[in-house]
Amino acid sequence: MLPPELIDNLADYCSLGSLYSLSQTSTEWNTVIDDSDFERQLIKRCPWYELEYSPRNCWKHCAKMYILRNPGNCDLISDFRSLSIQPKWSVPSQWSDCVYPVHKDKRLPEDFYGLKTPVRKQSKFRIHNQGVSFGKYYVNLSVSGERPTPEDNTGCGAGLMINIPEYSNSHETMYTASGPMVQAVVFFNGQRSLLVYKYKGEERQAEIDISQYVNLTEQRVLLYVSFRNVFLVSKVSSDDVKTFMVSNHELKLINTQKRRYIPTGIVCYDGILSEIHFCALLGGIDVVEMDSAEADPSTPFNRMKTVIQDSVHSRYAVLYKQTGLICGILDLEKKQKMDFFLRSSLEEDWAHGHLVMAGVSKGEVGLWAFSHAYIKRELEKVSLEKV
Amino acid sequence: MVTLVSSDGVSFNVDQKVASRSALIKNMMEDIGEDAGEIPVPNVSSNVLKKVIEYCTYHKDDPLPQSGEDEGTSAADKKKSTVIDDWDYNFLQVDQEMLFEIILTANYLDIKPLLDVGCKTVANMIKGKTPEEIRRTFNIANDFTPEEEAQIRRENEWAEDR
Repeated sequence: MLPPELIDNLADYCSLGSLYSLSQTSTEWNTVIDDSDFERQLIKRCPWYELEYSPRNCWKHCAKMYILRNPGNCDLISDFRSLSIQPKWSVPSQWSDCVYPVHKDKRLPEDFYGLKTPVRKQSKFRIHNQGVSFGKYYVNLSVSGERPTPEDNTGCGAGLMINIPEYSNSHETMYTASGPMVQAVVFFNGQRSLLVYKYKGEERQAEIDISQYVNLTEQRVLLYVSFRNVFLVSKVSSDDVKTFMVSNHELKLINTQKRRYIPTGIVCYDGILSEIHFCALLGGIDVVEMDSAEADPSTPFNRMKTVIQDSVHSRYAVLYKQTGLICGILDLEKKQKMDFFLRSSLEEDWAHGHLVMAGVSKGEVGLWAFSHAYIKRELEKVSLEKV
Repeated sequence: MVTLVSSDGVSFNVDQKVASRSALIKNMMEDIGEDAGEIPVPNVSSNVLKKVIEYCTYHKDDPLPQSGEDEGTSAADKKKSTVIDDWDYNFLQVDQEMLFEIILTANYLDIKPLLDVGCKTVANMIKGKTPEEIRRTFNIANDFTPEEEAQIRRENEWAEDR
């Protein structure tokens, strides 16, 4: 009989799958192997995992999903298959295309939750959770007549304040990125290269001296944020590209790869990091796990896109063009993507001035498209009321 | 030379160098000085102590593990090497009870490399097995109630849990 007092020593050598199996042998082992064991082993593999912000309710489930989602680690997967787990709902190995319903000129349902949109300062309008505002006029697009609270859906903006010392070339060596949960800036302050970031809801912003990793005066870097993660990608030599991630307030190297093209965005779900590549020329979104061999596509990809992973529904990421138009929706849980470029009819709709909001209602993703004429009519109603 | 006395009263004369593979005994010898005389090892029976001394004798010239080693990094390094060298592998080809006794003794006497290699051996025995196979391998009684069992089965079927 395996003595349970060994577990603390044993757990370090067991794979997550083994731990999981062992916990299911008897009530004693089920108690001995507690959530902290799964936490410790999972954190060893993904130090960036935060249970609080994960879609799972305990470390054991996080560990289970991590294994199921991690095709890169064959050892783990085969280990876990031995559990003869046949999920009714499984994690697909490949990404597939899907089409979400498009509701045209229909009011937003009461439970509509709009996926976060990027902030565009120059824009003539702002998209809120339940409507749109044009300057002082607010057009309610929801079935409920209530005017929503000022908490709008522009989402991005954790309130980062940075005093960059007077420095002649600061604009050349400064990179910013912002998402609903975190904002980040990388800059050279004349002496050191700094990464400053702030999480939404936290009072203090954090600062990391990144001089030992990158020299902003000589290197080009790219900054990404997704959910609560901050990524920094830098080219080291002509072909070595390093990807760093902020984890526990430290910059950690997570990937070194020879690359020709840099991803459009990086997202993190269930501990797995995925790169999003968007090809402007041919159309099409590619999502690949960061450590997989296909991480570097062979065709040139366009980076002039924003990828926003939503703060409430972290399973969804939306791709926006610089113009603010949605060009893709990803469901990271089901590994499904809707690529608007392939849907030429939608593209045409937009050309004719549709305002499109992506959101979730009754657990399903959908698109609510409002024609120019519809918005204009609504706007006229509002402006008449005001007078 | 020091004399280790097992729980069942059997004495083993061992070289100091061999005995100091155990951090516990090493500290003890340092505390009491050269003339340690007899050191009782309660909880450990003679057949297990004999095996452990055999291990310590074979490994007496290995570099001692760094005591100030950073826990985090060493754990990660250990993880990578689940490889067991030939001598240790053969040494641990014993029945399960003996294997567990050796691991528990290694833990008690604080012989880290033996504890590590013992745990690796057990981990390899668990690897790739279903819960039922693990029960059979280690003679664990399945004491889940039918309801708990059904709950576990549900958990395994439903990957989508939140």
